[in-house]
Amino acid sequence: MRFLAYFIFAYIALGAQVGLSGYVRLGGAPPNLVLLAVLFVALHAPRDIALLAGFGLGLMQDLLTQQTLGLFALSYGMVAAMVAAVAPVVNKDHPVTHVALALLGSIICAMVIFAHGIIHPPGVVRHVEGAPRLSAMRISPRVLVYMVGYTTVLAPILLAPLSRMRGVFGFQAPRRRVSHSYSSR
Amino acid sequence: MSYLKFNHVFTGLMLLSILSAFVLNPDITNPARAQVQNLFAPIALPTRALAGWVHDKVKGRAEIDYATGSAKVARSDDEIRRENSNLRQMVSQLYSQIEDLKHVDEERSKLGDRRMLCTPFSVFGPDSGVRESLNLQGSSFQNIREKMPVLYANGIVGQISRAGAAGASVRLITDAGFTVSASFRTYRTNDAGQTEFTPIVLPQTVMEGAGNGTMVSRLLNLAEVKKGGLKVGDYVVVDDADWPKGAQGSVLGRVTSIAPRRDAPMLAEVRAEPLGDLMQLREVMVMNK
Repeated sequence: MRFLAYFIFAYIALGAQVGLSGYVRLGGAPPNLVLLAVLFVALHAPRDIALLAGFGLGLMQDLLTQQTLGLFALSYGMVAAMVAAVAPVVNKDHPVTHVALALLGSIICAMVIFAHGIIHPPGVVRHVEGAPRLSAMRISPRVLVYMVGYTTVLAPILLAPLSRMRGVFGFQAPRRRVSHSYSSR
Repeated sequence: MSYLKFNHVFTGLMLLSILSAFVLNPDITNPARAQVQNLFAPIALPTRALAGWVHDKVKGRAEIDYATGSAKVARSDDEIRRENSNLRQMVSQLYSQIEDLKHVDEERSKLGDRRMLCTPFSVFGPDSGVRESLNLQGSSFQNIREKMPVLYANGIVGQISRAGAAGASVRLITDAGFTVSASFRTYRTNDAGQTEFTPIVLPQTVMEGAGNGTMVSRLLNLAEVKKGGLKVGDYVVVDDADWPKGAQGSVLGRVTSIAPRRDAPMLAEVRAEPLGDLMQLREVMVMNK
């Protein structure tokens, strides 16, 4: 894999995520363009590189959010591990593959964010003198559901052209064991 | 690197991310982030400018009428004439007040005008996740510090949540969990026929960011809210001793709904929204002077 191409790709994906998300929110949720970048790399790159690339993209996204550092790195690391595991047995260019993996990946991200919100809510429980206790303020699950749906819908639209550009990244197919059977002689 | 070693490294990285996300206090990791986040500005800024241009072309740029808080609409000639005559009366009354105010202004000039307290900064993009924040093209070298109020033409945007050598972030007032003490105000006509921005007689409350561009107050007694005459369209303003003097009284937003709390029907759930989409701001003013 050409790492310069990867870094430029990551830079553009992050820039697009930050630049666009103010204008293209749906139900308060932006599409997760960086997750789609993770899916693309994890589908086509060898396993080890895919895992590191996914983790790296998450770490870069962590720099640009109010969420705590490591949340997206963890999410995308898990997504990359999941995609890299199934990549050898799926049709990498089929839209159904893109939709299914984007849906699973988005759900993993949403679950990590939701779990984090349960443990460390953005707004903690408050006690105001002479008033009843205020429960913790959390990110609405509805926003996460919108994010999952939005990202899933965009997956086939964005991953199809990306798949055609994979030559730019110089992904190498993983080495496979050659089985010596009688039929191959 | 052998397969076994790579798995060790990756597991270590994942454990570190778990530690950072779930165990460590964000105050430890935030300063590190603020040192590098502006790296993405060169690509995010033109993307945002392009998206904003397309948005303005397709949907038009919303101009908010400060008096009504809604998008500007065409009004009839009669209405404009009536308003014009009222304004003329007001101008003559105000002229006589100016002399008195000059004296007061001399005292206030020691504090300075609100604008004089602020420095404008470009926004290169909003939050990359589901939270509500803005990333600024500014740094701690430009005297941006944590907890500084951030304003725009229609009021308060939020507070600086982190500032470093290469970046600063503003946590928006609508971000889930953001809190600020506030009170309510409304425009009322006094006995002299003048319109005043008067406080509504209600106890000070806590406005919390609720995400999706909204804030909520969950502390007020519903009976008191009704008695005080709070209604949809009234204003929420900063009334927080922890905020600098210059930010006191700045508008947070307008009340959009008043309803009993589901979990405590004796209390009111007052929802409010800023006078514009904060996530689409292209420039903000940081109160850093």
